[in-house]
Amino acid sequence: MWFFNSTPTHDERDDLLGRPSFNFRLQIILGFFTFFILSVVITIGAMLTISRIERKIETVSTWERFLYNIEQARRWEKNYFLYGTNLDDALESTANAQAILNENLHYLEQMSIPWPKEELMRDLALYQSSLKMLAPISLQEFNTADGRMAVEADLRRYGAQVVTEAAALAAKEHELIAKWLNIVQKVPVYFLIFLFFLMIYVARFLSLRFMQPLKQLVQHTQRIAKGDFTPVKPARKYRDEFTTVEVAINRMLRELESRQNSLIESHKLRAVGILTAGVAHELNNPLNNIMLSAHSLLEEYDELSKDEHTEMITDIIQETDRSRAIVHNLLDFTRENKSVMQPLDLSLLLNETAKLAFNQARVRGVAIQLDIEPELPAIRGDRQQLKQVFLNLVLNALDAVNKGGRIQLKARKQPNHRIIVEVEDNGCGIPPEVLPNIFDPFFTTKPVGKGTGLGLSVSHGIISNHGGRIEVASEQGRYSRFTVTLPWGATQTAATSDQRQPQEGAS
Amino acid sequence: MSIVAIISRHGRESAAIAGFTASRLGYRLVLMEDLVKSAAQRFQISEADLFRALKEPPVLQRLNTKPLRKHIALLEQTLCELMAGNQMVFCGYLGYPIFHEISHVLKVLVLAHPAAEAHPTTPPETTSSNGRGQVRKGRWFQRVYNARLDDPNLYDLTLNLDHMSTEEAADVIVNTLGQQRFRPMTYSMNCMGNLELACQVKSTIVDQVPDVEVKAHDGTVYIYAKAFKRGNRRKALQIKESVMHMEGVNYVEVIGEKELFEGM
Amino acid sequence: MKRPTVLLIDDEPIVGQRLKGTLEKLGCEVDVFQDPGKALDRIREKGFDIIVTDVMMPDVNGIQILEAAKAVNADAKVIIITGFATSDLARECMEKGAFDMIAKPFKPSDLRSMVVRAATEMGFTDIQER
Ligand SMILES: Nc1ncnc2c1ncn2[C@@H]1O[C@H](COP(=O)(O)OP(=O)(O)OP(=O)(O)O)[C@@H](O)[C@H]1O
Ligand SMILES: [Mg+2]
Repeated sequence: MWFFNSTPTHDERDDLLGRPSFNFRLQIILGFFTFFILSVVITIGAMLTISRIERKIETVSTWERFLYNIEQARRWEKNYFLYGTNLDDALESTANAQAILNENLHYLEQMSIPWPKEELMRDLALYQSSLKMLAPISLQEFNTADGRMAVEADLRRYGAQVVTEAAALAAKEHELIAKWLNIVQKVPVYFLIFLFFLMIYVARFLSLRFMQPLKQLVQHTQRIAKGDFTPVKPARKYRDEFTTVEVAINRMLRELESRQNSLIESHKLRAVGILTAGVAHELNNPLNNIMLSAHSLLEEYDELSKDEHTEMITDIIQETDRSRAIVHNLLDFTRENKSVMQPLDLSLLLNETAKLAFNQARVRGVAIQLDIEPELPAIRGDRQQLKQVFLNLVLNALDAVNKGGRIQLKARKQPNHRIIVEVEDNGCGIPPEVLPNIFDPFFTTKPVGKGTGLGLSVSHGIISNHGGRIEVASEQGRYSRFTVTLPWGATQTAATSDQRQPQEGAS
Repeated sequence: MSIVAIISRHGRESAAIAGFTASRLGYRLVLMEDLVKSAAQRFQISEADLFRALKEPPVLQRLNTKPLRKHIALLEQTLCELMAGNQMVFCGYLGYPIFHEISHVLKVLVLAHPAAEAHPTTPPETTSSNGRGQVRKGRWFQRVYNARLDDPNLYDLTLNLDHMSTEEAADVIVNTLGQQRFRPMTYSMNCMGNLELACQVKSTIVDQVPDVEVKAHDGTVYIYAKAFKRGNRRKALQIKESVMHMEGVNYVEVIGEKELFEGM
Repeated sequence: MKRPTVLLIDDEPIVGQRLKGTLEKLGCEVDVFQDPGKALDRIREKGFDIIVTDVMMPDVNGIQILEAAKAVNADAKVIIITGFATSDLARECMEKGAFDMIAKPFKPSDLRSMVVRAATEMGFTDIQER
């Protein structure tokens, strides 16, 4: 057995598995984790803001209580000036306000917006002391006293100052609360919008990450179906779930390749089976010559001259050599061989192929013409397999032509490091509706037992493996032309070297 | 000068056709029973054993089928020997591969619709046993020759008794045999000689290697033994030895599976 | 005494060389051709009694020779020698009126006996194997 690449090649596995792993599970987890963190940030932010608003509300109410007491004091103060009553009440309210301020001083210092503490305290103290100054004086004397005017003016001034300051503070705090509430209302909306776009992006990103390898897999299967068994190579930087699939595909490819090789082998033997008529004829002729010469010698030994003896014996030897050459040519093609890519003389190869089919063609009354450009450059390839391809094409052509038909084998060099070989026949041609199918395995128009439909499929596989192409042009009832394009020189090594190194230890 | 081989599941009808054909051509008539009789005489075996071989197809896995193979080989050998004289009409279901290789054998397939069996004069029991017999013959043919008995591709002429009487069928056969193409010639006579030798060799060695195919060509005998492993030289030598001294054998080649292209 | 005329056609030169003598010794008049085309002309020019021809030859094959020979002289005996004998070919040849056919490789004596039979059937009495 001679399967190449039948043992797992470690490089190709390592190529796939040697990458850092970044699988889709991780990617999805990461995506969702991001969402979660974002939500947490937003929630905490909202909670903080709300608790701040709560505390603000408390400060505001403190200020308002303070303001209320001051205003109350001022109302008592007015009463006092009008009716001489309620001075005690005014004092008490002021004391209340003072107490509120003192109680919450620490808290307010921390929580409230910056406020003119000194001034407020001082104004309050002045207001209070002015009020106290009124107390010892009776209303009558007070009414008359000159000092009253001064005290009253002081009271009015400081009272008004404290009220405006406290009112301004309360209003400012209110404003702040409104602002923060506004933020708390708007942020979730913005967050939702942001989340929406983020989701779209992530969804697109993830589906792209899924679709791209899927698309690649589809491409791989298509090329594999066409007979290209090059292992799958890593396309992304990271290992993911698809890597397992790719590794599995590569394993399948090796299996397919070894199957393909046995297919090639068995189809080759089939071709030889088809050639039997030609080979029998080819071989029986020299055998007949040997037989006739030997019997003539035996029967007429005494009557023949020495020269005639020599002539006949020489004939026998020559014809034996001829038989051996025929057998050799056939065996050379048939023998199970390790597949080796070696430099090949295409012209020689085509000649040998033609020779294999030549007698078969003669049996059918068909002429095979060779038209090979001299001095073709050597190509690298597997001798037997390429022979098999051209033989398949010639045998197909042979099936397509009638007696008196013609098969042409042409080879010529092309500018871009390519050689093309054409096998053309003037036979029945291929109907356009089956033309796309003829390279499919098991597609045949021939009766059961005559065609397996594997010839072209096997040939296509071989040519793909050589980095070449095989194409067909045909007109029904007129001709079919199969064109094989093979690379040579620099392009070829690039195309085939990485696909087909004969494996050490493959058996 | 030629040979007519009438192969059919329908023993009675085809025997009738064979009888008419033989008398019209003046040829010898050989039915299955005649073949069995001469084989039994020639090889000193009981006719019953030979009939058994014609009823039960041998199966490779079963041990007791070895004698069946032997008997079939002996029957084929007898058939070849009888054919050597040409001018013969054979009727039965044995020996298709032998006939197939000889160009001057007119191979006829006789078909009859089951209705033809149910002739008013035949009692119903025989009809059903006949039906079973037909199936059995088909199976036997399939097992032994790995081909369908009714496959028209195997024959030169297919006659359907639904559309003609046995006499008419015989007429058709006689007319067809008048064609030049069924005349014997040195080549086909040589083929027949080769087949006879191959059959002789096969019946000699079939005891030792059950799954064997033998070809002969001008005294050179090729023995294809599928069961042979590459290394089994001793057995090959043994077989060679037993065949080597047979009359008409010049050279023996024993070929195991996979060996076909070796040593050339 | 009239001798049977024999035409021997085979693109293998050795066949002609070896068989010419032995057939002549039988008492035949032997013409040998390697080119079947020329042989065809010769047959049309001069009918032969016995024609021995190979089947597979370049340009013209043995079947064509057989047909031509039979067309020129329906009584001619045509013996076919072929490197690839099959039942079908045998039947085709016989149908087209060949006298006999033999597969290659054969012994000179095989051909001789066929020629003798052919000649005897044609009424040449003194053609005999020694
Ligand atoms: N030169 C040709 N002319 C006309 N038809 C052709 C030619 N070559 C191929 N074909 C068509 O293509 C089909 C497929 O060819 P392919 O060689 O794959 O299988 P095949 O010849 O039928 O079987 P196998 O090669 O096993 O004998 C043929 O059955 C035939 O219909
Ligand atoms: Mg093909």
